[in-house]
Amino acid sequence: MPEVYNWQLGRKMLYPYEERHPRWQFAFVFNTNRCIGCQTCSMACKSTWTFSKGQEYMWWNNVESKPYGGYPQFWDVKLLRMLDDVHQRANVEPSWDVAKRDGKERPYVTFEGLTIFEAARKRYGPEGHQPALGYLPTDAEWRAPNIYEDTSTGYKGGAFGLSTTGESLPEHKTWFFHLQRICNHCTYPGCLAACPRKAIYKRPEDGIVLIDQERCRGYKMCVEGCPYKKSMFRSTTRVSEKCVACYPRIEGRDPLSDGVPMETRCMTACVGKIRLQGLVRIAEDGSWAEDRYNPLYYLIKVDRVALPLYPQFGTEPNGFYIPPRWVPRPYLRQMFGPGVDEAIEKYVAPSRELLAVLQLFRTTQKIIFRYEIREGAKVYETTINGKPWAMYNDTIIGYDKAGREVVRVTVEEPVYERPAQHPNSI
Amino acid sequence: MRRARRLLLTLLLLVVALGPGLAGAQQKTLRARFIRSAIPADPGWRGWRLAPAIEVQLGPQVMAEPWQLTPSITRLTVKAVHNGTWVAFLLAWKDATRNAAMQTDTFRDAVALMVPVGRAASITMGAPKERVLILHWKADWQEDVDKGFQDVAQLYPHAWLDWYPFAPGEPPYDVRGWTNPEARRYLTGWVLGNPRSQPDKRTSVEEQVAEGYGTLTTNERQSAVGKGVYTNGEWRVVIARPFAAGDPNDPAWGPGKTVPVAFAAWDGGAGEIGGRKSLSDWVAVRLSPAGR
Repeated sequence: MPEVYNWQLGRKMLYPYEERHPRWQFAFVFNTNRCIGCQTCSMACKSTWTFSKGQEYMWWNNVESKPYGGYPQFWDVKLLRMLDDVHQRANVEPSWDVAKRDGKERPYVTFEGLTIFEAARKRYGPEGHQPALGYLPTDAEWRAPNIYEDTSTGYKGGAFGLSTTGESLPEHKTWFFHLQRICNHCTYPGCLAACPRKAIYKRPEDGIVLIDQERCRGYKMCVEGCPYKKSMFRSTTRVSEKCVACYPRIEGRDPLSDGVPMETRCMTACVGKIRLQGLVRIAEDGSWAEDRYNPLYYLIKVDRVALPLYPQFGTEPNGFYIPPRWVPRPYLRQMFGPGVDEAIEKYVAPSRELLAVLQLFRTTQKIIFRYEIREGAKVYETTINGKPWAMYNDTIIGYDKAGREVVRVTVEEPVYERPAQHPNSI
Repeated sequence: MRRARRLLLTLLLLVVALGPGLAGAQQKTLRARFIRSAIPADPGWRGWRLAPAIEVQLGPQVMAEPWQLTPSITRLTVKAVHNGTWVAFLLAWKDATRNAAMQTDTFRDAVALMVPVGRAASITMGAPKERVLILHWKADWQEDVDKGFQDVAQLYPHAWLDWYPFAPGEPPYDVRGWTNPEARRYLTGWVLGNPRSQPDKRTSVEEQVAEGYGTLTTNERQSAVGKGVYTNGEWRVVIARPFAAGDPNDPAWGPGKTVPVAFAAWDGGAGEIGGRKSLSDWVAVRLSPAGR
């Protein structure tokens, strides 16, 4: 089996196919701290792609309340348990070696455990040899997409399970958070590895992973092999479907797009302004080509404030999350890997550049390929975690693929004060 | 020590893999008698009683991932007849559960036979330039043919939706009535011509060609017919096809010839689909000369 390089694990790993990389990669950053769980993204996707018959249960975009929620129910806990079983039987510790951290190609550390592809090779039992460790969710597990919505953990000893001092950072004692999920358009997709028909492909132009609706035979092995459970079987066509990353928009073919790449429906509908999606340039060796002022490159590779979801699965997902700062760190480390502490530290007291880049979220439908910052005056000073911190009213300008300015925003939002006699006039 | 254990395991699996091959070598030849009448695609046809049967052993599939180490169906009873232009097989096997629905977590029962297109082909679903023709009967397609397309209303009787954008008609909006392109566009597999997605099924047998694992493709021309009936814990399935259908993928078979045929079976109740199946080695089928 070929070996491929996974930068999120800082090492080579086994994968059924040789390394081949797209010229650009669809990627996104979700800021979990800002999500209000309104599901506008879910409805934007549903009303665009999955309103037809046989797709009733499908939510290519969903938002689940962690730690209890999940669509399909307990998808991550189930796979983590399967992985844990294999690690225990193989006597392998799924640890991260922090000493080996080194630059942008090994930003977090080296993962010493087994990915879903490697764990599958350790199972020779009657359950059968799979290309990727996984399971097929039951019908019932898909049925309640927003189960345990807004359900927090309980606090032992507190009235109603609540802690009177629970809100103090760095970790809340009663907590939950919203996890927004779409297909991660992985560099090494589990669905693609699991498909014996070679009906799933990754597009060379943008890294979007698609299921060929003509070639698919509806074996559901992609549903089993995708660790994030973003392939779904459709009973009315008896083949599987998945998130298509709104590819007509990414291609700039949407009438609104003016010929340049445009963000997906779920991104542009985001009320909480938590989403930023774009395309990152991929070098021939598969690494992210240096692109310092691409906002995604900056957030993920330079500032490392956004982290992959369950990187230990080994698919090199291209969705990245700014972790919720109030959630217990062990839980977050399990979900986003060992970069969590650094990411939260950076987010809590953002650098001048980070604060400016965060303003770009949800300001334009066009994909921002480059940004530029014009420095402004100091407007605020304080201390955060005992260290001095200052806020500057910098201006950030975003440019589309054609190099045209598409957005210009300042750190401070413009404020208008109404005369006192008209507080509620319309 | 670890390496030695792995070697042992590999050897063991090799033995398991070759198991049906060895058994197959000992299997008798199946005689396909000539009959003068038309052959109805019906497992209940009286003519089957006179046809000689053989037992075909099926073994695990451990060559292409995902494997099926402990397959559910290990034996098929096979009969064959021909009338000079059509050849028909009757395949029967015990199966405790009848599975004919493809929901998100269920699989259907199925059976298939494979014939080399040329003189011979590798048992591994053919190989490059060793094409095989596969005739694949599916219980869900049979259900579509017998009872009409198994739509959401049939698969999920308690489901209800008041309205689907673009869909003509009234609830429950049977998809066979979705003739307008706006509605059909969102039944992607159907509009792209995927045979699985066609609600108006004409046959329960799909003709496929392959040249090795992962190359299975629906044959451009579809000439096979069939019918499966489940009674008393047993599937009885007829698969029939003209010897010559004017198709470049017609096998080199015909009256008076002996051809290799291999079989595979899937138990939907055990989650079997695709490579998760049991399969036989080549079985020699001796087709009597026409008129005798």
